[in-house]
Amino acid sequence: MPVICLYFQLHQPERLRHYDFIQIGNQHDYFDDESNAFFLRQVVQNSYSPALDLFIKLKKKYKGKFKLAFSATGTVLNQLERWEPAVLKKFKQLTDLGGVEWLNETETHGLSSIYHRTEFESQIKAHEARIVRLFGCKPTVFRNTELLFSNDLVNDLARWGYTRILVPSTEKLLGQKSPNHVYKSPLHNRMLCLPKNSTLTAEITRWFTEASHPNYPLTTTKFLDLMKAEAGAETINLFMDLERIGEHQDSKSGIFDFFEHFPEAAIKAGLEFLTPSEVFDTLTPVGKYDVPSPVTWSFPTYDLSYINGSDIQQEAITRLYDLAEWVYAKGDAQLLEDWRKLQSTDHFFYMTPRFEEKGEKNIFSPFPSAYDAYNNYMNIMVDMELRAKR
Amino acid sequence: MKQSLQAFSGKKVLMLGWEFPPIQSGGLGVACYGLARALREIIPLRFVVPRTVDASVLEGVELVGLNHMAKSKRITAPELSRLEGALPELEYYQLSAVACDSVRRGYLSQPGLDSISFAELFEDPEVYGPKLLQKVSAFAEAVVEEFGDQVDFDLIHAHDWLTYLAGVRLKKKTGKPLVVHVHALETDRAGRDVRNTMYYVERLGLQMADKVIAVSEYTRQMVHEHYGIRDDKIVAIHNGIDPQPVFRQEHHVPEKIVAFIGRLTHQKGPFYLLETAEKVIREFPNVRFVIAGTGDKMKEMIDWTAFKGLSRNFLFTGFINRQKVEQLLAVADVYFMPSVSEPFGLTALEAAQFGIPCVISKQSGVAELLEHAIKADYFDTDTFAREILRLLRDDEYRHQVASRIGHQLEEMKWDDAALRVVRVYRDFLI
Repeated sequence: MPVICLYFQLHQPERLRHYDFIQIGNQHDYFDDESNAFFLRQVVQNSYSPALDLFIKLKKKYKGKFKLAFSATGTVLNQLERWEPAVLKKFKQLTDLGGVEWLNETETHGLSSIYHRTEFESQIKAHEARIVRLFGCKPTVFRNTELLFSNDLVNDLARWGYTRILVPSTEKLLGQKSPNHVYKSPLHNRMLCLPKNSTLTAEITRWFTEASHPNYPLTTTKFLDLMKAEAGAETINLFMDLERIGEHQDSKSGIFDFFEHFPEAAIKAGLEFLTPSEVFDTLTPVGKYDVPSPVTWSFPTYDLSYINGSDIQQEAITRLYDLAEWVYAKGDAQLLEDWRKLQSTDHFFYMTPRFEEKGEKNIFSPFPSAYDAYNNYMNIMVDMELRAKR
Repeated sequence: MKQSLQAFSGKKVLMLGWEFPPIQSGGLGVACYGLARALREIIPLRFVVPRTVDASVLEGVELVGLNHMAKSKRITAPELSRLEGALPELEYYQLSAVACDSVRRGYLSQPGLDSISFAELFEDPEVYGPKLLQKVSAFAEAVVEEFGDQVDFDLIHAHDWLTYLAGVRLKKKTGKPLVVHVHALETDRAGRDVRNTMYYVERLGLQMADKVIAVSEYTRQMVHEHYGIRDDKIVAIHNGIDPQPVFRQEHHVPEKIVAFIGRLTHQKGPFYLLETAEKVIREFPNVRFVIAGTGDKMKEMIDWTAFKGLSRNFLFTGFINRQKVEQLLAVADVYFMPSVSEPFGLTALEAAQFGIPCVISKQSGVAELLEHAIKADYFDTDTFAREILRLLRDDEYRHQVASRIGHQLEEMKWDDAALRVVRVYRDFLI
């Protein structure tokens, strides 16, 4: 019987206000706090808060038999501290019940792992300290932005104390190999990788509300059958955004009911819940996880093409990370904070021309088009450059 | 003036326009306002546009927004099918099926919609927008409906192709003389060999007109060459420019600023702009080209700057309103207008008002007026780059050129333009 490894991620973007050329050099308030607060409250109300209540209830009911893991970007933690501190209290309460693991990740939901390794290191260390401060436990497992991973990261991560990483799985990557095991990196003996089971996770995160899907409506019984059908599985790794519960799939969809009954059904069927650390402790690697170029968990391409796949995205990213040395040297805390907030991949995702190429609108973007997003960001970049290099 | 007033006593002009401040998107609204304001001293005007709002006011001019037509006046099923079938006047030219089809799309062909009130149709806040052809044909329909039976005007003066259909129909219905005023041509916008609906609407208007006013000699020549209109039926009358309060501001970016203001379309020469910019940047990296406006070439232009790694030398503002145009002119060092074909080119004059020298293409109306502007053929990016570099490097030279151009502006008055327009009217009214 496989074990179940349940992990939820939290992130919210720092949306930018409309910032035009007239403001350059005059105004440095780039972030649309009003809409950021609005959307945070909405996701807390629809998802985070009721999901946490449910998890606390389940923890109290099943105690050590129900386990789960979280990670949250610095960005969303900042927003929660500022506008919804009660959610952090709930997280603390849940964590204190035991069997809840916090993973480390980047502060900014950015791409520093690719574009600025020093920045990457300092974010990992800062985030580790923050998790200790907030929840009283030191993370030992790492997940990168969008689960981004490549061989190139292995040695640095190991040097910084992280040899246990959550990674994406794609058919292309694993081939005939199953994601339901621990793997190790070909570049580093001790580097262990735990791949997400994309197919089974998608049953919950993508197809749950899709009436045309063969498994619709998904019941806990059906889901257990699907898990049991995974031949030779040692662990079923269900990694997802927390907001899939209640925000992208609202309470009417039955998603809360599903999670309410899932632990009991799993426990009855003899399946055990383990946190990522426990999975790494328990299982031995069955093969190599070899990733020459970066992969992510982003549907549908499982790479960075929606984030840095066009000239304008690369230009914006280059301009941003080129500022690093100046931002560090300046020693201006506000400048550093703004620069970090501008690293979030959301800003670059809004610039992808791929939706418009298909005649679609990027529904996550607050901008009318990819190029509007780019122009706005680049106006801000000019102001940042003025501040940093002055 | 007095003489004119007496000569025209009891006469009235019905003007048809598409933009009138504050509802405007480009130079057309500015020009119509300037002309109407100067003309009102001489002859009574009724100015009809698709849409007015509370702020659309010009004292002494009867401004009519068709969005205020009685709600009861509707385009009903039979009228609708007439509009959709084809524009009768255009059948004459045996428009291609494609062109006719493009006229049929839009509001009027929405399934389940069997009638719509004119008022509702013209409430659309987009001055142009995707349903433009429908609005143009409905405008013609509404104008004839509203003014076809009235006898209190003596001459029809229609501004740009948008109102030509209305002008032509009204002339047919009432027998009043028609003057069409060319602010821009489809051959400017889409290239000389264009043969689309807009071109044929223009051609119809120009042929049916009793007199054609072109905003420049350049445009007069274009009307003659590309629309088969006799030279002696066309008169060139340059627009005026109103003095306006101008100001200078210190800009916060350390670079010198070269400004471009206009739609990012083929007509404005966007890729000659980029080619010039690249040559300038190579010699003088401390420069930023601020590109204000939007259009179908914007994406390609931005991609180009990103691909070349030159984003630091550019800023794309998207569409900007009047206030921001002024703020841009107040900080810019050079104005650049490499239009492939520009009937007039008001922004170059506005730049000059703000004390900025303009570098413009010879293929523009303002090139005739601005003796001291720096001019080159739109494709001559070597000359453009050399001249812009000289202006950027030599502050004194830049101020000299700007002030020489500035002096000339004082001669360009709307009152003079209005008198020349009145001379055109006189042939029909006296």
